[in-house]
This record gives sequence, C-alpha cells and structure tokens, in this order.
Amino acid sequence: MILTTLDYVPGREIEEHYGLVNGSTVRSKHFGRDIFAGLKNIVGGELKAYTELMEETRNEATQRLIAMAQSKGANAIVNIRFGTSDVAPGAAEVFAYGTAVKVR
Amino acid sequence: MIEIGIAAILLVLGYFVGGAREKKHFEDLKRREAVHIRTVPIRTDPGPELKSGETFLVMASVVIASDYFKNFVGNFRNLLGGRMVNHESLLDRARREALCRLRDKAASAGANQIVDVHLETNFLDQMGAEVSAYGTAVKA
Repeated sequence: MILTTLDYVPGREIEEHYGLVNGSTVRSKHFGRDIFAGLKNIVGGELKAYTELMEETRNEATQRLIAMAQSKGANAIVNIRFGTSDVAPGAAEVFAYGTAVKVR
Repeated sequence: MIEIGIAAILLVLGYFVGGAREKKHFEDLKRREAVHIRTVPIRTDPGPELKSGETFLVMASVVIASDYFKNFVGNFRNLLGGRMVNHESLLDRARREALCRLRDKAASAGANQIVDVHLETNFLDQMGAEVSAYGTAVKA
C-alpha cells in the first residue's frame, strides 16, 4: 500500500478511484503510565509516555485507513490528512482520511 | 504556611531547572536544524510535480509540558490579558521538535526532502501540548 499526502504517486498513473476512506481510533488520555508526568509539570519537558501513546494511536488510525482501502481493492491512498478531536473529557480521537486509488 | 513553602520551592525549581532545560532544548534544536536545512529540506506545499522517485508517508509527534513557574506566571497573565510568552515558547519548542523528528525519520529512511508538510496541535488536559507533523518524504 502506497501512502502519500500528495494527490498523485510519482511515475505512476491512477487508473481507478474508490472514493474516500477513513480510519479512526479513540483513546483515553489518562493512563497513569507516566508517573513522571507530575514531576514534568514542575520542571517542564517532554512527556515521553504520552508521545508514545499518541504515536501508537496515530499508527492505529493509519492501520484502519489501510484496512478500509484494501477492502476496496486499492493499492494506494493519496491526499492523506490527519485530524484530532476531543470527543469527551479525557478522551482523544485521532482520525486519518484520504482517497483510495489503484495505480498502475 | 507549609503550602506557601512548598509552592515557593516548586516555583524556584520551575524557574531554574525548567529554564535551564528549555535553554538546553533550544540549543539542541538550533544545532539539529542547522544540519537538517542541508540534508532534508522541507516545504509545506506539494512542490513541483515529481516524475519519478520513491515517496512515503512520515509522521512524528511530541508531547511537552510547561514548568511550574511558567504555569504560575501564565495564570497571572491570564487575569491581566496580553501575550502569553510562556505558552508561545512552549509551542515553539514543540513544533520545532516535531519537525526535527520528522526530518530525522525521513533522513534515516533515505529521503532527501519532505514535501506537503502539515502541522497539528492539541492540548492534553493540563498535561501539556501535543504537536504532530506529517508529510510526504521523497527519495529522489
């Protein structure tokens, strides 16, 4: 699966469009995974556990995006965008969307 | 009395340790950006259409917390209104760090530029700010 934020794939020709595909995942923001988070609020700095958590969440949304494109028979997703929203207190949604296509 | 004492200690810790950590981070960013500008240039637009070459999606993010002193000053500033320099520097650090990581990832995968870069910011309740960057890495 070719993934790109561009609206084309270099050197390849788009021969079929399958329309919009999306993938999303909702995660709780409270994990208690980072016992140092409280300390970091005193001295400042990166909250590594949260960075990892958000990366995992984004990867999961991307995996779901890919799964949806595969089910349509696509071999590439163009024009990919990501977004985040607060759906409820303490919960964050990450979503990814794009256009599923077949390239030659 | 004890509460005031603890708050004072946290303020001093935040001011000195937090300030030193921020200064170190800015120096680190400056050094990495100086290398990146030569090895992996980035642009926010798609750029001229590529006829060939390999492209792939890259993503990077960072969650960063402000220190106690800056939060304290920020709360006062909030009452008075005006520029919140403390938050400005936090977000500046976060955005630049996210872009640095994006470029590191692209470079380690063999890319020599990133096009169509997008930045996104969101707040994680009280914990800090998250900035994520994504774009298309190009291996020419």
